[in-house]
Amino acid sequence: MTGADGVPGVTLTGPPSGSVPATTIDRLRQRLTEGVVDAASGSADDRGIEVGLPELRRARYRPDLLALPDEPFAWKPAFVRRSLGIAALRASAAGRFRGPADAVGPVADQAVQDWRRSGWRTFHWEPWFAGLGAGGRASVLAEAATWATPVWGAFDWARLGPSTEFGRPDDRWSVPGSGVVHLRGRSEARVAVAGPDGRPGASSLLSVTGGLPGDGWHDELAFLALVAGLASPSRPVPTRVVGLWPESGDLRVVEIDAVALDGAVDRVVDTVAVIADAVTTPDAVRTADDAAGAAASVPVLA
Amino acid sequence: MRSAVSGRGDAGAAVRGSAGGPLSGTALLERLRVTGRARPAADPEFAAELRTFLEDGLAGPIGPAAASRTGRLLMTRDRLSHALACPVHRSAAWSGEPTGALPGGRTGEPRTFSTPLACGALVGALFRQIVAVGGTDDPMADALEALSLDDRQAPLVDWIRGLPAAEWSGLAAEVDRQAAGLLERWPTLDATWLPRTQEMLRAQLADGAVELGVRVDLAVGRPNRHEASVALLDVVSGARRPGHADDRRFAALVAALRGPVPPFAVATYYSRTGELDVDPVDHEYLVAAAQRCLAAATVLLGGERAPSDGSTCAACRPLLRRPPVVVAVDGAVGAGGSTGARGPEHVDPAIRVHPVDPVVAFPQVAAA
Repeated sequence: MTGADGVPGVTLTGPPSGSVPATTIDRLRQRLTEGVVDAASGSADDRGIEVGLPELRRARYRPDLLALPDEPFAWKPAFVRRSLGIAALRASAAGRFRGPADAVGPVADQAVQDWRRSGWRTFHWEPWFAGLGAGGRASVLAEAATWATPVWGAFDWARLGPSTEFGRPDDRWSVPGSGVVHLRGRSEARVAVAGPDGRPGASSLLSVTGGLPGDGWHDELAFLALVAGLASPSRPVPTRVVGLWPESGDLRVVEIDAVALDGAVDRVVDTVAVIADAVTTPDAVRTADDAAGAAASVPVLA
Repeated sequence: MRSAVSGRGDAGAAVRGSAGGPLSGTALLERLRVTGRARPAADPEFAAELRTFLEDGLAGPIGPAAASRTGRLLMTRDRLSHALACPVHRSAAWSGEPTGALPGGRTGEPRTFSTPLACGALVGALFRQIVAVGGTDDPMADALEALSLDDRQAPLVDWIRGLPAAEWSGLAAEVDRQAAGLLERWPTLDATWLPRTQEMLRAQLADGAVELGVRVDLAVGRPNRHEASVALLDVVSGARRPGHADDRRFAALVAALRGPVPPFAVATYYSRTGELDVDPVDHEYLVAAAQRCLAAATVLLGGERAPSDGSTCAACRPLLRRPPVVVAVDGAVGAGGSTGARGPEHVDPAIRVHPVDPVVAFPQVAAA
């Protein structure tokens, strides 16, 4: 337990147990490419297959959902809570507010002002939020505050320092040769830590998930480090990924090494196989458990 | 928007409302914060015993059902109440009783609405708004807008919007009245207390075969791994009834199972009257909650019900004189009576702020 983290046995900034050499990443890249190309062969979906944490979980726990058509998108508070919650965490960690409950209102107002000033209008929540009445805005703010508050309370962010990145851009990597498979790693925070040799440059990731951790949580957290390593070959692979499940109060850690990353590669390959099957034969979706040959529980999907 | 100061309970650090009236401001918070007992310290041994008690008790019922079960048994406050309801409730009010094989949501339960239920949902939305932003422009409009952003509430919102003018006015007046009470009595919650609204709590038992879930209207207090530091609170727009104490116990149990330290208090706030019931949480309290949970889980998993003594709950006693009536959402009334209203009225108007999916309405019972 390091002083800044606040939870015994779970640390974002403690000394890493090791680092992943570049040769390991090369090997994993090769294995992943071969596995994914094989698993995706025959997929009729020319839109491509994107694999992130939601897809990993859906394929393992609720493959029946993969064959369902996408619903028309409409903004709702649950879709804004992460974006606004992360902005509130960032502002609170910077010392501008005493916590997310104080931060969400001013941060949302500032975001709307920025949008109005810049005219920037893309697939984002500010225009929708600006058009809501008092009840709708309050609902959005409450949802974001409730999302961010357990994250704020789990660690002493102010002491973790200014190098913490909240809501950094997703890590993305396209599998060469597959043509259609793209990996996306989305973590809620990245914290700089000293490497095993004491030199800076290493990092830990924090992932926040709704529901309960499923039996594949270890591979799911390692997946984030895998995609980060593949997407940014010049940066060290994150040495640790911490998962927070606020609803169940679970806080779990994966120390990243070759074994953990191999598990993540297997999980990606299994997921691509399940998704490809769902696309080509939606009425006969096999589960990731069929592919993995293991029984899985059915945790709540976030 | 109405001023966050105007009428808020923290204005002038009010202690009480009018003489002998409901608590407000700092006094309300103190009532929640100071239970009169020492806050429980972390007790990993007791936490393990509590879990073992439940899992050992579940081992029998889960065993034979496991082979045929495709999902988990999801236990909520409503399911517990249903499983342990009195015979009249069981036979009449819950005709679509869930069984042990529960992949997810309920089945076989018609969804009906009533003005008390609508009031509960609207006041719940307003309580969240007042905690989040400290005020409201137009309570009815604000609450309806908040509910309309939740897909699950769409049928209720449609039902409310379709109310006849007289019923709409009555509902709006009651919502306004309760919103004014909330604004007057509830103080601003400091951000450092980490207030969370509509927080979902979950815990697993027996390797995930059973999941306990509860959503509380307010959780406040920074989690601490050494001493209980969190209070949980539900807001109820109707009258006090015994089932609310069971609801509090269940919330405490779920919170205790999910973390190393239980909450130090669980409370119910009655927005109609301003009353606040607070239960301090200790080992005895949690054991009682676990016993009730185990009894309900046994029923839901297809096991034996505890022998009934044939008695009925107070709410159902009048029904023995008049048969229950199923009322469809569109107002069609089955045999046995007429509500004369579009929506059904349950014999007990006490509705938790989170609607409980009422399944069958009972005829209005005139005062004896």
